[in-house]
Amino acid sequence: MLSPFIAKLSEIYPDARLLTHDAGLVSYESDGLTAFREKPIAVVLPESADEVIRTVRCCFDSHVPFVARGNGTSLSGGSLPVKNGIVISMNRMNRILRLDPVQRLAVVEPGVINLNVTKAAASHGLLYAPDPSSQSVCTIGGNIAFNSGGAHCLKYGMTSNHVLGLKIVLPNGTVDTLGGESLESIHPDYVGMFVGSEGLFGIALEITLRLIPKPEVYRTVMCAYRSLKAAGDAVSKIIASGLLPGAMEIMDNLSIQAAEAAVHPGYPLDAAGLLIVELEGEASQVDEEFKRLHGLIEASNPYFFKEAKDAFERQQIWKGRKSAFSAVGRLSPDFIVQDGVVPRGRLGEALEEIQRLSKQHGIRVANVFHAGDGNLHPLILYDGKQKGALHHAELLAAEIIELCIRFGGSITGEHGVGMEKRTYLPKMYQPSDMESMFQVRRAIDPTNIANPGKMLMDGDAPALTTSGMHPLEKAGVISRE
Amino acid sequence: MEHKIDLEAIGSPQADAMAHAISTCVHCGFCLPACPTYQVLGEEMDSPRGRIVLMRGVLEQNLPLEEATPYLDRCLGCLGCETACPSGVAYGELLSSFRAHTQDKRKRPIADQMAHMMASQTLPFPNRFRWAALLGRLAKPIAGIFPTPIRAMLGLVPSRLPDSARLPVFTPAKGVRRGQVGLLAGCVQQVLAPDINLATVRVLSENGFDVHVPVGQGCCGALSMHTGDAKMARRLAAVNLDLFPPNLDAIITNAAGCGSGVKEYALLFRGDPLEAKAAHLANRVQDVSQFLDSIEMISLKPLEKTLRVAYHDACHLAHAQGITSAPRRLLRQIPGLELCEIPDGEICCGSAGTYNIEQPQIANTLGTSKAKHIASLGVDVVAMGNIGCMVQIRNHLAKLKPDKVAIPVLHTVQLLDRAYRNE
Amino acid sequence: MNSLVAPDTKVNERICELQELVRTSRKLHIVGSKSKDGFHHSSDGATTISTPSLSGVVSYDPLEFVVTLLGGTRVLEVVELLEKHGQYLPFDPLLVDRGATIGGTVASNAAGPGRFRFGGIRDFLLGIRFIDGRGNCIRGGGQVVKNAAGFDYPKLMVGSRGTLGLLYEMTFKVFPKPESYATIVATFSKLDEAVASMNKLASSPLDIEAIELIPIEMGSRGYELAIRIGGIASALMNRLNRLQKFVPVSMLLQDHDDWRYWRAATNLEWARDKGSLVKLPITPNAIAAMDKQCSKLLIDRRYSVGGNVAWIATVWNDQWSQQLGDAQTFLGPLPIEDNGYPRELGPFGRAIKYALDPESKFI
Ligand SMILES: Cc1cc2nc3c(=O)[nH]c(=O)nc-3n(C[C@H](O)[C@H](O)[C@H](O)COP(=O)(O)OP(=O)(O)OC[C@H]3O[C@@H](n4cnc5c(N)ncnc54)[C@H](O)[C@@H]3O)c2cc1C
Ligand code: SF4
Ligand code: SF4
Repeated sequence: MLSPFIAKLSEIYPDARLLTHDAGLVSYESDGLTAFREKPIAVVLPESADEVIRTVRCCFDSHVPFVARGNGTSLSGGSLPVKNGIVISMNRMNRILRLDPVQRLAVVEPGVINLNVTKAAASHGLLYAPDPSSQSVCTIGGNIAFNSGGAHCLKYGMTSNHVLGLKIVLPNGTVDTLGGESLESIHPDYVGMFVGSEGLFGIALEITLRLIPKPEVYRTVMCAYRSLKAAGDAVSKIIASGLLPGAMEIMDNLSIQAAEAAVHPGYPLDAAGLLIVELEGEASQVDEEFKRLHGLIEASNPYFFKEAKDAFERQQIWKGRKSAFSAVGRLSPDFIVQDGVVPRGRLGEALEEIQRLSKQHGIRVANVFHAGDGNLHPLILYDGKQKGALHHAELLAAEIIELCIRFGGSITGEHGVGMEKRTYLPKMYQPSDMESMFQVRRAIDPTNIANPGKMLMDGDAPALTTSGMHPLEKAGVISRE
Repeated sequence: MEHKIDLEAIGSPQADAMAHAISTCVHCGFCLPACPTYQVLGEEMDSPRGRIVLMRGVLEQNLPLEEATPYLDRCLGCLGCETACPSGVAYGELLSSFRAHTQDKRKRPIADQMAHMMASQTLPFPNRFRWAALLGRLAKPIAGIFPTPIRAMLGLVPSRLPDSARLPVFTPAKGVRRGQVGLLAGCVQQVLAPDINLATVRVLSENGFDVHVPVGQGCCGALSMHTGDAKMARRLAAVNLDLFPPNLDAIITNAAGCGSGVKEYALLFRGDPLEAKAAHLANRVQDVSQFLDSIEMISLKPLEKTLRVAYHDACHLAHAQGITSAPRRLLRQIPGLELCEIPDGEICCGSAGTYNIEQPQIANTLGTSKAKHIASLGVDVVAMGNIGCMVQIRNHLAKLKPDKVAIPVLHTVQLLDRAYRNE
Repeated sequence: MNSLVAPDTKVNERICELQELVRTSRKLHIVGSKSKDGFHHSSDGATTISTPSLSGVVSYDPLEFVVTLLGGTRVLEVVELLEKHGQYLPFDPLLVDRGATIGGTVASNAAGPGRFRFGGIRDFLLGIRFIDGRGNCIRGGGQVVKNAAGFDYPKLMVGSRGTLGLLYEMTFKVFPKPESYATIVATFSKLDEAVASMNKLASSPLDIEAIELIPIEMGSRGYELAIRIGGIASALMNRLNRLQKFVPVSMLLQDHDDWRYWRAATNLEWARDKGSLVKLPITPNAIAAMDKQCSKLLIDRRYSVGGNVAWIATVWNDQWSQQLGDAQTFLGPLPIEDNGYPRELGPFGRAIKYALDPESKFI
């Protein structure tokens, strides 16, 4: 017998796009973080904004929680189904509705794959800049929810910096339009507020993206070092010199091994640290920058240096880097992808600390990171079949995150809080900050049905204890950082 | 990905391979855009990642087999996912092992069963297939009364079969003799396009190789293997194990499906007394393009006028065997030939073994989209290295513009052959 | 760490006082240095909070390219400080020489021509502290260049005009300043030619810092495009030569001339004494129609940020306020009621306003 709620959904969807059978449901149990599994009560596959809106209204009326899902590559459990909830799978809404090369913008549906926007823009000499490693799979909707970044965010910023306008459906089923087509707006930056809200503010239905001219030239180099710290120090020097590369990435030996096995980009297999730097822009400017970069790198004493000689070699270097997470699956049956940020000047220090922790726990950690932003991605390897291994790995992951907080950084640079880090958010923010987020959340989603339990811990908000400054703070004795 | 598969309870020699593939998958989804069925159907169950989860569910005994079957049946076995997977998941091994493991337990709808039976009982046997094809031709006008899967099968039957041509058992090398090779003659292809084998023999001999085509060859078993009929596959394959003389430089195949199938023999025969022999044969088999690329080809005569050629990557060549650049290098050696890349080229054309027979709707969608991509290029010829793709693409190109002469579809080796013969 | 003014006891005391003030007031109106007069009109009956008392650099680490400032800090002070280390705020804060404060700059989203290249205030603001409508101190964002934890309050506050809370501390990401600049000015007799050139340049792979489209004598004598490039000195000549192939150059500005030209533009000097100055977010396609209208009514205007912002300088009247519903006044008298700001909020904006300022104290 159909439950009354499912019956309502079946008024919106034909059978083929309303999944309630086992095979359908288990397929949507997890996202890219497989440590969590939860079977939804139904999965719907909308093909229009109108269907999404009607679905959300249906959920609102029946108090059924929902989770939007793009292509399920979230690494923090963001698209993990919610208990007794449904999954709204957006991947079929994948059209580019309009691409305006003159005004340099694209209007897209949320299920479009990131790389497909980039490809469409490329035919006009334009670029959609954010390039998460998962760009060939992940959807713009997912990118919006997580404010996803990528290797090339150093110069032009993350997803948020490239979103001009949004049409959204709020958790109560009302529709709103935020921003527009102009680079500027005169209202509070609602678009900026929605981006990165991890599905807690509702579902993006239509997105206006900014495109930028494709850089005229790229110059990409790889340099290998005998220690990871040497690579980190080189990055600090490059940043301090005032150069502004398009990307600066570091990989350690384990990730080099894995990526080389997967893609064969020609990485030096014996390197302890591999630094990839890419300059981009107008040819004559880049040539001058390259001279400076070359000098800086020479001074940093790498034992191997190579410049990509053509587009193919460049592409291979990046393909290797971008496949690193998944390629680590070759080294270990299971692993946790960690994502934290430290101030760039403390990169070398943080890496040494992570190596120490890894030794101390006897757990292998592979490191791949967006060095230019101080965004670390330690991959903590374990074998889920061994008893207690996951738990042990989680302990190490926790120590790394606490290290990031201690260093004055962030618990996530781009993968979001999701399920994974919701217990850490209160460690990064004060109770009054947390309370404010709950207030916003409650005002937007009073019935708590939009991806509940993610980012903010479920249940009632912690009682607000600090409605002012602590007396010691007032006296300047302590400060909260 | 974690799993709770009880290897002993499964008890099949391939259980380890399955468990290993599942644990190697990190659920990252990089394979999604490479999967034709995900492109067409847009649901997780019809993606590689989803199918791995479904197989895991069945093997863990958490999911009834019937729940998973429709989605696994829709898998083309094109292995686009393997090429895309950074983690190195051996999806092909997982799928064939899983299909073999569950073959006896599954229930299929009657019409599917008939189509499957007809396909698996006729395709591997050249003579039976020739008869079936002739019968099919008779049945074509009344195709409407058959269930869809069978109708699709009839649609594939060419309206005119080429004359069956006998292959010489031995063809001597021309010019300076450089070595000797054997030829795996294939089954379907012998009936539908005997010229491919003839062209292969001519090109090899032109390049200084003696070519042996031992009599008594049957189907290599690949079709049965891919549909999960491991028993039948082993029976068919066993016939070929002893046929080829030991002193050959290589055993050549010109059908990508056969090539990739033979290369999987070791897994197919795992735990079987014939395992060593099968593995040995597998090691000797090379695709014709791979082989020709490894020798210095005798130079080709320039074409009279520029010929624009699109090269289509057959899945069983590109994804299953990783052969993509060799055929392109060969074609570029024909002076005056201009090579074009097909947009979305890594996506399957929908042929995939018996797929266009068993999943006609999806096969149709993929075929149509492939034909459109090819037509968009304005080329003179499409070349490829697999008979299945040739039939599929030829059909869909013809359907695209029924009133016009369709773009000719040729095997790579046929193009080389024509260039040598200056046709 | 180069800490110039530590968040000392005095600052903390002042913040506590402000919290108290918010808690006990019914209506509040926040002002900085009042460099943008257009915002300060109907504060009748409201308590005015002035931020300049909260000023100073909280921390600045040039190697980290991050600076934290108190809300009342003068932008000029910040610009000069950064310049000493070869760094800058690439979005060209407006009205620097007219006393603009950093808090007011963020709250009014006052970015200038340089916003074209690397982004606006929203793209450089990493973290904030503010007092919400309940009198609580809230921190949003962080101190590092990348951070995806929690809701993005920093962006929300950009353009909030003091209606969502009192911003008292802001952390910015800064960039290395190009070592040299040059500007070419190109003249066109027809608007559509100028717009077409602007679009072509904006989509070209030339790295351009700013493009402004300026009607000459209200368009009666044509239009000019001012195009600025910056970078390594030894490459600049080469790039200028290349740029000249795109547009008919009538003037080349270098060094101090270049600096003066753009400083005047960010100070909005052209609009001085022209009544109200109104900012309109637009896209390049909107220029033709808008310009026709303006030239009929003899209204001065400029198109900034590669055709993404229209600045309109005129004596305000009702007719205008209707036509320019989505506009923001910067300078000069513009009664807030006419403009309709805070304008009708959408459901999303309403929910946020309610959450942060449930009693609607901030006006
Ligand atoms: C191998 C690998 C590499 C990765 N590399 C990077 C990287 O370099 N940088 C990076 O930032 N991330 C990276 N990620 C993480 C992930 O790809 C991104 O978070 C991505 O944005 C998720 O997109 P998705 O389409 O898969 O979304 P999903 O995982 O399906 O969903 C993610 C979140 O978005 C929400 N959502 C989806 N659609 C909508 C919508 N229309 N409206 C509102 N909310 C929506 C979901 O509810 C969920 O909370 C990587 C992941 C993998 C597996
Ligand atoms: S790409 Fe490989 S590891 Fe990733 S989901 Fe697909 S099969 Fe699994
Ligand atoms: S073999 Fe082909 S159809 Fe099957 S899952 Fe892989 S990519 Fe998809």
